[in-house]
Amino acid sequence: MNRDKKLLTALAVVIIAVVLIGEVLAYANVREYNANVTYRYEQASWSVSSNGSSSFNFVISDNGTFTATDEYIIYYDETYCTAYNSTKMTVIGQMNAQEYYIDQLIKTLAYKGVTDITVVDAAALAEKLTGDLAETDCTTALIVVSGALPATVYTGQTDDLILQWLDNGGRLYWSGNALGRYYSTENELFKVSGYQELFFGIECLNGEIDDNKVYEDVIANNYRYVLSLSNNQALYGVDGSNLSNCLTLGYTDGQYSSIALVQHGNGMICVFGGNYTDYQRADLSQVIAAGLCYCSEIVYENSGSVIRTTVTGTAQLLSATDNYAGYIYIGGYFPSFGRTFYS
Amino acid sequence: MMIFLMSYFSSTWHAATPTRRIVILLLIGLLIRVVISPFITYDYDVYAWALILSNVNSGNGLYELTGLYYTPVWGYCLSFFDGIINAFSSIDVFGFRFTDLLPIEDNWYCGHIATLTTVGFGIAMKIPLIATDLLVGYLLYYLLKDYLGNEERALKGAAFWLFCPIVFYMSTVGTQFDCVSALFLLLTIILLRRNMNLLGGLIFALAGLLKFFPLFTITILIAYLVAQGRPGTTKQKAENLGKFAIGAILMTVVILLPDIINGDLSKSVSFITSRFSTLFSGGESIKMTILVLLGLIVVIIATYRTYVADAAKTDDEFFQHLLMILTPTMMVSLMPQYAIVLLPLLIIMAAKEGRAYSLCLVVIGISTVLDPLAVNNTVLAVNLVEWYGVGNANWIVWTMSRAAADFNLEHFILYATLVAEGFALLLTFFLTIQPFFTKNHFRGRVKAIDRLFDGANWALNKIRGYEYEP
Repeated sequence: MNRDKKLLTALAVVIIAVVLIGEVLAYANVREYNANVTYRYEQASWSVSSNGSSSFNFVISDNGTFTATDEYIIYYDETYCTAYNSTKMTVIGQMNAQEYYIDQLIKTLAYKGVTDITVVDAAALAEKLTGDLAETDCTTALIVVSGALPATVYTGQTDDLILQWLDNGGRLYWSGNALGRYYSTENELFKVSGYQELFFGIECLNGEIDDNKVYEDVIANNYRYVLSLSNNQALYGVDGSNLSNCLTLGYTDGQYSSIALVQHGNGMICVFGGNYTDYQRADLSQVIAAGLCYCSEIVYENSGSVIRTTVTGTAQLLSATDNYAGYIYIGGYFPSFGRTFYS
Repeated sequence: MMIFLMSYFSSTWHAATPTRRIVILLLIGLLIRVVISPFITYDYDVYAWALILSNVNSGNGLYELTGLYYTPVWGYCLSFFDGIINAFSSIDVFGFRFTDLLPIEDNWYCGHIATLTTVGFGIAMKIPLIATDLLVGYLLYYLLKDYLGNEERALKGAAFWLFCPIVFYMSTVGTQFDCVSALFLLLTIILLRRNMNLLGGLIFALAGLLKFFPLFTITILIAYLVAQGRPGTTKQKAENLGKFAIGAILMTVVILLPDIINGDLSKSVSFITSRFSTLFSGGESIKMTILVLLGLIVVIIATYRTYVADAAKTDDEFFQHLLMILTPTMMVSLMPQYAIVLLPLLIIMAAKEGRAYSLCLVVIGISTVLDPLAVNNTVLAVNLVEWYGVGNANWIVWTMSRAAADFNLEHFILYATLVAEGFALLLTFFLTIQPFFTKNHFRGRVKAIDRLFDGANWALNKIRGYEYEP
């Protein structure tokens, strides 16, 4: 083989090797991440490690008396009508937009350590909520992205199952349309009057028709940055200024915010503004993974590099008996790992 | 100072040996790319690469999470780069979302994002593309020197590529991988010319799975392999073809195997299938069907002519017909970066046949870069603003809104560039089919048709500046 052919062979082999090594790396799951937080007295010892070149963020939130969620259910029933707009969300594969949204949300939550998730249809949802009512303190979270609750749990009445469940401690994560504006059956969407008062006690939802992007940070807290929040839509978002026990975070126009967590009885409603987008879904997963509630306050935050090593630290807490949620994640706006540790 | 530098360069150039001259060209090509790349970046595509890498790092492979819309070859390349980053670099932050840039996401051209990748990450993504640019430049020099036996033309060909505006833009600013597609196709051609058919098949599979344009050349490549094998035995020709086919099939299976196992095959080829379904939807379907039928006629004619080419003209017919096939495919969707895979072939023809192809090359090289410059304009400076503190985001948002307000001007520029590119591609196509105007089965039957072909010949010869002899 002459010199030219040898060089051409070498070049071709190098190119093929790059592609094949990349193929192995893409599927071999070579990245290893670990995190730990140990609460002891008025301190939290934490550590985070990576076998690659990574950045980390760590936030400890004081959650007052709000107990952590221990299971998650997602409502999805393809036979029931929906009220969401997904035109700006990419969908790949044979799924419809809502199914794809939920599929992606479950996978994202999985690498952030939230794995106890069940998808339920309208009938199973009613059964589950009814079962939760029998318990004294419900710690179940329900995620609804359909834009409309099914008639099995909500019909616009004050004694609806969903409202009783929230009063009993249920946690509702909501996106897709104005919360409570619609309920659905298999054949029809029904509009509800006075829906805002049912869920919030007052009118406080942004019912604008347009996209309603907002361009300022919520400055009352630093969650926008510590959780690397991205969704700057406030359509259907909450104006928390006249609500007691409300935490707004993310982005705002000064009135409505992209994310709001509001107390409802012993439970909580968390509203994500805007139509379906990949950003909205990313923020939803971050807020869930971080274990936030309507009374969360940042007591400690840290960030930095963790490059092929373990980084450790100690956080000074306010008290030994408070209710803390410590969330460590790697990757910032491009996350690839997360874990939450409760005191 | 400029005059001194130019005169120094000129004397150095003339005194240099051929090997040194190509090195000088490559070094200059490298220098201008290295100088620009940390400061000017198109935000959107490099964001997508960061998203794909975060998905891979989360253990979800290439297609489980939203991110990669291409076939897996580019995803594998990105994974390799990610491996290098993780193993050897301290690039820990991929990007940051800037609140003051949020309004740029509302621009009419929805291809901007306020989450900017860091300078380090951007450079990490651009280094392989810049290296690819230089490699293609050198391979063009190598091929042209071998094909034409002329050092000057070979150097000009390399220079055309290295300093072509759209090539430079897409690797150094746009962080797009069309130069990789050009590399794979060019390397396939070189390997087949050298009768290295197994490797040629392996690389061709990568070319076709990276961006699908090279797939349209498959019949020409096969015809070339057969023609090149003359006057060999049938067994030798079958062996040549067999090695190429084995290489192509083997690499295709290896590349797609994980997606087949994971059930993601439809996702992995969705970039191709979605393009076809878009092109064949609604009212476009009739136009596309006609174009496909015309295209099939072109493919059949080009393949046949490559197959029957005289031994002395095998390479000439090969390059001409490759260009003949690829040019119409580019006209279906005039995205600026798609033309890059065509450019090496156009450069070869320009080096061989002179000014007509050179005209097409210059028009394509300049018009295609005006498209992204017009649409993206000041947003290309976001890195300067946010990472280097030069200016402020309000200025960018304001100029973007002014550009959008001058809707007609921006759109005029876009349409003008599309028309120019379309014209250049059409001219290229007619240049490649000019032999058909001279001699074909319709000649001598109908005077009107003869006049038409004569007129076409006359016009093309005027552009060429000489009487073309097929």
